[in-house]
Amino acid sequence: MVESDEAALGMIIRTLRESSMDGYSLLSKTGIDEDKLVKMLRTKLSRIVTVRGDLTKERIGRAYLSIPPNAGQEADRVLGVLAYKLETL
Amino acid sequence: MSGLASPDVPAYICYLIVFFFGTFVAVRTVNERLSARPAAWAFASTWLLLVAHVALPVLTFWLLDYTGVVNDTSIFAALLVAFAVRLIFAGEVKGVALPAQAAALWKPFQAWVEYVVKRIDDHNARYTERFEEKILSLITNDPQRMAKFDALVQASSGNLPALQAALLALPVSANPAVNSRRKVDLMWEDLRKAKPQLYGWLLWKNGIVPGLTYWLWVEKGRAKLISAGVVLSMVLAVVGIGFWFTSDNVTRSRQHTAWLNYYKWRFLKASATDRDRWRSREYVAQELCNWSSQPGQTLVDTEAKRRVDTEAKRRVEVADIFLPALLRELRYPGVTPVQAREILAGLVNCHSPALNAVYVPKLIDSFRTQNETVRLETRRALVALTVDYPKAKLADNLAKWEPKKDETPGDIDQRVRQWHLWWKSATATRRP
Repeated sequence: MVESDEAALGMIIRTLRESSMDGYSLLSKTGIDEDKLVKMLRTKLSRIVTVRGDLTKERIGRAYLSIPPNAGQEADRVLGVLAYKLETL
Repeated sequence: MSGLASPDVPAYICYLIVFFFGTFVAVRTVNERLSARPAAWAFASTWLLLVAHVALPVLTFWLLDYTGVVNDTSIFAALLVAFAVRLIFAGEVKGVALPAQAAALWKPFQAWVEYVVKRIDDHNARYTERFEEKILSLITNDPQRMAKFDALVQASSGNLPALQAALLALPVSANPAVNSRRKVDLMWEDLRKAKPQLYGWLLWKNGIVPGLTYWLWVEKGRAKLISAGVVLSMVLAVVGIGFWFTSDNVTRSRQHTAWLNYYKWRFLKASATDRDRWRSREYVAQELCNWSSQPGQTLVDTEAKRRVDTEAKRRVEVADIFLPALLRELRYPGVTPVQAREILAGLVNCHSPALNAVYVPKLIDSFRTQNETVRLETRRALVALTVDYPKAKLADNLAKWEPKKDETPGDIDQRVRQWHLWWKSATATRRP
């Protein structure tokens, strides 16, 4: 189970940066629960991750998640900010 | 790559290089773009995407040659375009720059690719849902499968107590089928979360899903079948075209026509390299210079007759395809003196009464539309051809005619009529 929001955010972005996948695979790989994933996809990741499918707790597993090429730069920027935060903590 | 040293080979080889290597790159690009969509190659949209990515380097190669940035006979240019077409559009390859308007097409192309990828995503989501629905119905309606599924989920669950609690908390309906389905749905979710990659294989291994269903849906069986079908169709098409081209092995007319059209294009191409021009001249000479051989009168064996027939057919094809294009180019007011000289040299070098008879009247007529430099070259060519008609005297005013820029249409018309009179007398002297 992932503790902080920052850590969860970083894991989601890094995982999807490597490869697009369905919600079940992302949940399994990151260990994040459906609630947190849906919340992040609606807020902090809304401009980075493309969701093909329903963005609900019940259906997020079936949704297809990806970071499109034009959002790659923004994803890397967020990862950079997170790394900086971890270093300065 | 006009300035880069590179082996100069026939253009069709370079286009084939761009096509073949471009196809490999295109397949890789599409696979990368659609990674993790298990059934992507089962959809027509994916094949459309592939066709677009294969066509892109070929069209770019043609455009770069057309705009004079590279030569379409350069192997290095062909390889560069096949492998780095995206970098060329991004302007990251020094010395190989597309015109600004063409480079601007990249964005709409990318937008279209995004649109198609979204469509593929929709297809993929529907495809996965249909599979799930099929499996869930299969399990719900079969008590044996239900028992196996129950055992598999309980054994694989990442959080068994939570699953059991959730199952107990399910609302109970008066319809047992509804209760079963709710239970299966919940267990399915748990299995997918616990084994996101292996769930299909586990279902098949435990005898819950038939082997064919598993292969078709989870092991990309449908995509593999469709891909194999498309590749097989393409191979058959290539073999079919090859067979069609070579099936008339007596006259080889189809191949001959294709080569004539190819070399017509190369011979008249203004930006061809010197070596490519030389190759075209060699072909033109080969096609035109054997017209001097006259068919014998005493041919008795069928092989010799067949050879003569084939030769006659080849001549007809040259007369239909090649010569009109050359004469048309001579009439074009903007034709360069170098090109005009090359065309006329090709005709004069291969002069023979048989060949002359096909084009001389039209060449004389073309005086009317040519510029004065080309008129002078044409006059010199016609004078050179008089060697085939020693008995027909050419008037001095025609032999020494120096075309001028300010000649009136009336003056030119008079010359044309005089040249036609000479031609009439020349052909009369050749008649048996």
